[in-house]
Amino acid sequence: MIRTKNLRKNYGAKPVLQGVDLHVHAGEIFGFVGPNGAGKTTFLKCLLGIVRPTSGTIEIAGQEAVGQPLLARQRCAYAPGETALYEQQTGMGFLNFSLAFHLHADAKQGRQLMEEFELPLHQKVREYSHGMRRKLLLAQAIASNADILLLDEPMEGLDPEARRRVSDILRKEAHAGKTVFYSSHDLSSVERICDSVAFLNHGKILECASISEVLSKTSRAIQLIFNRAMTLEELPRAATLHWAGGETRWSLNYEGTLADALFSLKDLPVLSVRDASTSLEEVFAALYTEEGAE
Amino acid sequence: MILLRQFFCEHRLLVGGYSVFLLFNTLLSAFLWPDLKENLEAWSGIAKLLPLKAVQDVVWMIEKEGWWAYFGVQQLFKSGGVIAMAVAGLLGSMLVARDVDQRTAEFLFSRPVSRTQLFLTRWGAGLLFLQIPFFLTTLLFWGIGQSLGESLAFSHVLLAHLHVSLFVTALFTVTAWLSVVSSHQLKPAMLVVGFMLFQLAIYMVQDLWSISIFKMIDLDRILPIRYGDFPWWQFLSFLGTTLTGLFAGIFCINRRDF
Repeated sequence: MIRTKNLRKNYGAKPVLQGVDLHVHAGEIFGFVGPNGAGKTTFLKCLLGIVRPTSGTIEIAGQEAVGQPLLARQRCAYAPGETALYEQQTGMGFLNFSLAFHLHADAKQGRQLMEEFELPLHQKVREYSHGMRRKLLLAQAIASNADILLLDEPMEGLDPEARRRVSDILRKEAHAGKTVFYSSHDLSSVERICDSVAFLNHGKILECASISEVLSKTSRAIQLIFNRAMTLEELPRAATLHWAGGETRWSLNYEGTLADALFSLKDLPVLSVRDASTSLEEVFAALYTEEGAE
Repeated sequence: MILLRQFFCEHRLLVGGYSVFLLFNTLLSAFLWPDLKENLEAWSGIAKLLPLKAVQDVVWMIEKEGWWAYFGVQQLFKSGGVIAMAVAGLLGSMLVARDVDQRTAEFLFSRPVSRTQLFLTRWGAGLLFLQIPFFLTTLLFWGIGQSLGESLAFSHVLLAHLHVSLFVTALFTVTAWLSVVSSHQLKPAMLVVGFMLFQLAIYMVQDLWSISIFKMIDLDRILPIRYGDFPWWQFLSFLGTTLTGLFAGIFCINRRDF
């Protein structure tokens, strides 16, 4: 649905995107992760033609987008991250203004989303809180009924309940065949919602794969508490099992499946087991530490 | 349509204030005429005492040409050349730079609408907001003149109005272009309004007034229209400036990163 090849963008002499190659499939929730200043927003702006790429190609729904940004904008709905809104408009006025540009927009859905997000329809946007503005931007993007949702930091400023609602809505949209491009540095939400993820740093893609692939590349671990002190000799030994700890608390790094690892513990006096597998956050830290060291 | 409505909502106070201001200027000026006409000799005597040659000339021309010169000064030069010019500077500067300044540009330019369409719609809307009150007050001024027994050929009024309104259009278009390349709405406004104030200042200086841009729309250009002498060169230069500003604006908005 979205494909970029060797996408580069320089602001003056400063390279912001350095040859980004990405392929996002239709119906996928694609996480785009990177620290502040990595080039995430610039990448989104390039997709929409808000900024002109220095070189490279962008294909949106099979159509070349660099020379024809309008075509790209017709297929995409965008919820910007750090933007101001037209402060004198009411929430409903802003929604209507935004949807009026989209041919297949669903104003009824927009209104429903505003009600679901508990946004006051007739209150001026200038009186909206940060989180309310974020929800309004999300509502207009979703209700525009475009094939591709480009969301920049969509969960920023949202309370846990709103995050849960947004996650559900995005999953529903993806299930209905929409492609969701989810740019964020909130790794827990990316891990929870997205199917695939790309890590960006200094305008370069460090890693791009499905979430399960990324996580499976790293070791898996469980933390165990025994009902008595255990020595290393008492614990099962295998090439795929690596123990650390002492006394009653041990952690086990394992390769292979969790079922195999648990089976090897069947004769031990285990009091509790907690999954301590690597999270996306740790993958992120590892990747960016490696990049920094290089 | 949505862009037009949004542009009007954003600038309704400026447009409303401008319209009311023009209306007051027209009504006050037009209804002052009978009194002024009666005491023209006295006014002429006072003007001769003033050190401003421009004012002396204006009073002399009103003495000579009557209502036509008065209409030219009050409606075309003052309402069009000065008041509409100032509003053109303000309105033009807000065309794009306001969105950049207020950080709404990212949202606006992510909408599925071409930049050319966006620029032309706003330019057209701004132009209408500027020209409609100006044209209506010109009609009103002419109508009041008729009721006061001062008849003017409507075709002459229209031609003179067209000349000055194109001056305002050219200025608005250049400001609009500057707005496209600016990141702060005050910059083009200050640049254009500052430049025009400077031009107005040198227009008041006898030795310099011939090089002022206001010389292109003053009574020396307006009065001959009545005798079939239309200021074509000035008119064409306004038209050229408008078209150049328009193309430059479209070119720049399509190349700019927001």
